Amino acid sequence: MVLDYLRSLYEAPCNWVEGGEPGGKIRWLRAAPGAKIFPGEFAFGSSIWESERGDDDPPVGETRADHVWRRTITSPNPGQHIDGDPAWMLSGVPAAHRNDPPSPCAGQFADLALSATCDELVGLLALVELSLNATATVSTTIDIRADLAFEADYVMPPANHVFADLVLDATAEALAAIAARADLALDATAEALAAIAARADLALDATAPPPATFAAVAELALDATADVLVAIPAIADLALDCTMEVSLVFSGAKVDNFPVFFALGSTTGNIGFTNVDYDNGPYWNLGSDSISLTVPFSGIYAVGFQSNVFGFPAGTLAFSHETELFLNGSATDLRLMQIFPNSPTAGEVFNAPATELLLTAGDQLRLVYTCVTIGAGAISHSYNFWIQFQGAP
Amino acid sequence: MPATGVKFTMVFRDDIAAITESHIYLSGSSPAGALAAAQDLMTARMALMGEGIEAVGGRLSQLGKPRVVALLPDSFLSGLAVTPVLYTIPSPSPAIVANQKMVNSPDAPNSAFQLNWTGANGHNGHIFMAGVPDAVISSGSEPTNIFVVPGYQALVDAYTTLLRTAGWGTVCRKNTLDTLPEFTVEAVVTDPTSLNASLIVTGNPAPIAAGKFVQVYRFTRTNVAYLSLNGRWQVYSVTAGPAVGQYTITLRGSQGVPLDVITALGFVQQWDQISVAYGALAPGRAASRKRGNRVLRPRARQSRPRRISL
Repeated sequence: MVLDYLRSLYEAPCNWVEGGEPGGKIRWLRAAPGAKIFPGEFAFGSSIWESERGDDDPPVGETRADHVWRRTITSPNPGQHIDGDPAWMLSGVPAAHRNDPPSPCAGQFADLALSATCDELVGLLALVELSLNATATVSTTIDIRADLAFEADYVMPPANHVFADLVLDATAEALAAIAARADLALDATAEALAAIAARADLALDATAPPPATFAAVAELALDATADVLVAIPAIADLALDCTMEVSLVFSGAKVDNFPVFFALGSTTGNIGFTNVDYDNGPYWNLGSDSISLTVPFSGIYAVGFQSNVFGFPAGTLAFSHETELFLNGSATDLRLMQIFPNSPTAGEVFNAPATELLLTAGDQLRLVYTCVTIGAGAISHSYNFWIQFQGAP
Repeated sequence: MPATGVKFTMVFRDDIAAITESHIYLSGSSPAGALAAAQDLMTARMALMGEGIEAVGGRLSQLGKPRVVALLPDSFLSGLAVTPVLYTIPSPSPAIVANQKMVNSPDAPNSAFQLNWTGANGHNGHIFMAGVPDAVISSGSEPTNIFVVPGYQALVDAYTTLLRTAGWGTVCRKNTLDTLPEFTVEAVVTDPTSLNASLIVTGNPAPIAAGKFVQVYRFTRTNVAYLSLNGRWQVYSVTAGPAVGQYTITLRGSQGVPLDVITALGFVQQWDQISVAYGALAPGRAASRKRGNRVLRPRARQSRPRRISL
């Protein structure tokens, strides 16, 4: 039933038992639509309106200390009647009847319910704290790993990718740990909720049902779980950010076809690599074929191609040239086309327009060229092929 | 001693805000005894409201101890939940929906005015009358002529008459005329032990004693940006000295008040309240629009700080 009018809802200590007995609490809920107003006088009004009262709290009813604002919850009770002796709403529950089953007084069963669930709530909050602390520990671990990677980057730039791999492994471990912790937290919360429900059953057996109180407790528990669930994705985001930052340490890779490549007539072949590229780590296949690149991280890569003309001897009438990317052995139909002018000058540099590819770690990337010369002269030129990591998809 | 009587708070609302107004029923010693008078007052107050105002409820609480509260019954409130008389004829909209504010209506309850009152022993103040229809008030008028609709003036008169004759009043802080002595502060020093502010007065400042509340007033400071000593404080201790005949009143929780910026010393008086009957009541000036808090709507949930170390 309607017991007062409030702007905001809160929880406060309350003496429910006649003569005063500390330890009880009252939480204000919004009355259900259509709830009736409590008829008659009562002692359990809100203290919010009582600015003219004396400095001391009354022996029965709400005290003004330790108000905690709570979010608005509508009472599941229809609020059409009050169970038990209405006189107790003014005098408080007689101490002799405090634990009588069934105890129909609204004040009494609310007191009992809150007392019964107090332990569970404390336990639940402790579990939430524990899970958050555990998550924070994992995030600290990620920070340390990231610091290690960056420090290594400073010391050994050519080996960035090795440490990026290390950090990726570490992050994967951390994420797995977070997931495990989250499972633990959810299990723990479920156990706490089950315990609360069990207590609620006990209380329901012993007293008139206090659905409003237990609904409030359930809301609290769900709130706490939601907090944990929010915290976990936040940590996961952090880990991903960390990974991305570390990945960016991989500045790119370049291969050169060197020394000078000579083309005469129609020629097709793979562009071979040497070990002079500036990222000479394990991403380049330096085996016998030396023609493919292993993509280090999944993500978006800029791909570019450049050709340097060294000589265009007399007798060469025209020269066309194109290259095509092969991904994992198959043509991608991605052509980096270059048409040399009829009479290119030695020393000219031609750049193909850079493009972007979404690649998966482990993909094999290969560049195949086809060049055609018309005339008797042999074009001499070199290739420069590069990729650069741009970011996560 | 706390004030006596029964505090009656009326709660109204329109579509976005709420209006509360409280008075003290001096003749009542219990909420039940003030029920009839409260219903009469709320009926008269509802008649002053603009279009779309809903009477949510009323609460009566006994001042002092023990706490006793009663609410106006459903049967009474259901009779009040009607749209008040419209002052704009014809109506701005042919389809008036009960309890819905007509946003563009001249009768929308966006206006307010002050109702000035005076009482015994120099007490005075004003009641903020919110929810007034826009159509009845002239915001640019002199205080003696703020209502442009004679019928509304009559309703205001009926309300003020009821307040004055039916035993209504308010709660004020006791002053000297209520036989509560005030003491002139002769010096302010820092208590060497608690670092609180200590007021030095001449003569025993009884009834001021440790644990009691006092009102400090008429102090000035070099800049209002500094914390003020004016206000309500709880007494930490009352001791004799430092000179013969002098007493030192130390104020609890006053460590943060800078004493070196005080430019004029004022008075200290025990804090106590008294119920004062309304003597004269008269409309004052029109006041700002849309007073009142968002109320009876859920407040947004405040998130708990998260314990994450990043």
